[in-house]
Amino acid sequence: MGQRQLGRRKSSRRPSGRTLALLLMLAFSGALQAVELKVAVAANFAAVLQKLVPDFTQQTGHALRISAASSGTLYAQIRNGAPFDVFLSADLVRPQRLIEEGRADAEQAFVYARGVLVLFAPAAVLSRSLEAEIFDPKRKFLAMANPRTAPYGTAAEQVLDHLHARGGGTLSAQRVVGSSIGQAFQYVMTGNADMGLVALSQVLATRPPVSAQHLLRIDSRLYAPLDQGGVIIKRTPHPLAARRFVAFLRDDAIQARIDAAGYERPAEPVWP
Amino acid sequence: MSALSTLDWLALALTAQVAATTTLALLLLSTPLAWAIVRMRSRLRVVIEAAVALPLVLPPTVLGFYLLILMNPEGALTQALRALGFDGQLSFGFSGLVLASVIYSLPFAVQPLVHAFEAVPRNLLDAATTLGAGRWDRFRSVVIPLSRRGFLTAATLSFAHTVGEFGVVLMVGGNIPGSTQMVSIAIYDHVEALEYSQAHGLSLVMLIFAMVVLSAVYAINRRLVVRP
Repeated sequence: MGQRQLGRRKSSRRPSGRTLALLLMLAFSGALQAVELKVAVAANFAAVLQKLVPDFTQQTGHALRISAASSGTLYAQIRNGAPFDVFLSADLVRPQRLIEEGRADAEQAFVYARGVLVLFAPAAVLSRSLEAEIFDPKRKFLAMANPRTAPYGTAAEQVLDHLHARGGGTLSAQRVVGSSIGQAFQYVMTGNADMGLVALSQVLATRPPVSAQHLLRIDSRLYAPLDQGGVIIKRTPHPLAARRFVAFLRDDAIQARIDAAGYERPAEPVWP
Repeated sequence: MSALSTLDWLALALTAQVAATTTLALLLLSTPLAWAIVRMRSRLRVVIEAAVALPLVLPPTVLGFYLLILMNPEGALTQALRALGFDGQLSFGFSGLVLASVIYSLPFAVQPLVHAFEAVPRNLLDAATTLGAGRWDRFRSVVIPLSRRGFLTAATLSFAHTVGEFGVVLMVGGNIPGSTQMVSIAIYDHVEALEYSQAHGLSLVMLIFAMVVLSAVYAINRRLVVRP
């Protein structure tokens, strides 16, 4: 079926140098069969990945099936034999563990995105400094992800600790903790918490769009980088397609689109 | 037991408080509701019964999300409560936890009562009427005594369901340790943070507590058998 598809594409379009090169590469790698890659993705990146699917399918002929959950859940599922080909985690800890356990391929490990933390208050105009806004005694609840279980929660706690150590004041709002950054975001969006330390990508994905005045981007020196790592699972029956997917995500044009969705380009695309 | 921190004990105390308050509120609310359902002759009855069962359908985190929308501090519900003198916010507090638990456990209280009320023989009520008993008197001296096992089942299920509830209270409570963190959430947090000994300790206390309460209830239940 893949061969027929590729053939049709070739006849219906003028073959550009790029597609020719791709076809040659595919031909020599013997991967002419279009496959369906199963990608386990951390919930915060699922919507972004979904938007990249058509490009990937167009470029490679392969289809993507996306399973989104918390990184911890996906990690546990992979350990217990879930049939994923690629794992895109919200941190580096879980992919690193899979590598150490021999379940993931160390050579193909890569950082696909770096998360950005923002202060978000949908009902307020954030025009002052971060300290002034976050320690404002009029604010009642600060939503954040659970620092013990979610990377964005850890980052939020580091920010609060830094501000506190700087002598910027103390938090008078009560912290409300979502089990994931998604839940923390819901606290803010439903108006139950008046502000939250959430992911920029979440705010940018909101429809109708949120005005920039409700946002305050947090100095990235105040928290450890929210690097999100990806690995290829060793048991994958489609190692070539999985490598193709990794190359696709690391491509400059795709990285630019990931940035535009509310991430930063990782300084160091590989780890450790 | 030394593995348990002060916050763990606070979580246990809060859980007992929320479950007891919820059970009381549910019995007060469900008794007239169940009686109304049983006496209802119109087709509306199926709609009301379906509405009561709805919390069983929605996943707890989804129900929690809708409850958050309902509890918006600028929303109609909070505003109405403010007009009645309620000062504060429903979400992230005790009152919100109880309101959420009442909605979530409603079918567990209403359904046993409906079954119990339906089993009350019609002729006994008619006999009470001929003896001059008013509506309230009939309910109090015929229906309630004959339905005592139904009440016990309703109370037990409401209490147990509230103790074991997780998704809804996590959403509505905001997991504030010492304030809205219930036992199920505290255990979940310990497990996620790999603090297994605290998780085991807390689970053990909760299981023993539940076993004692449920055994007591079933012991009472045996003595409540209605003999004709």
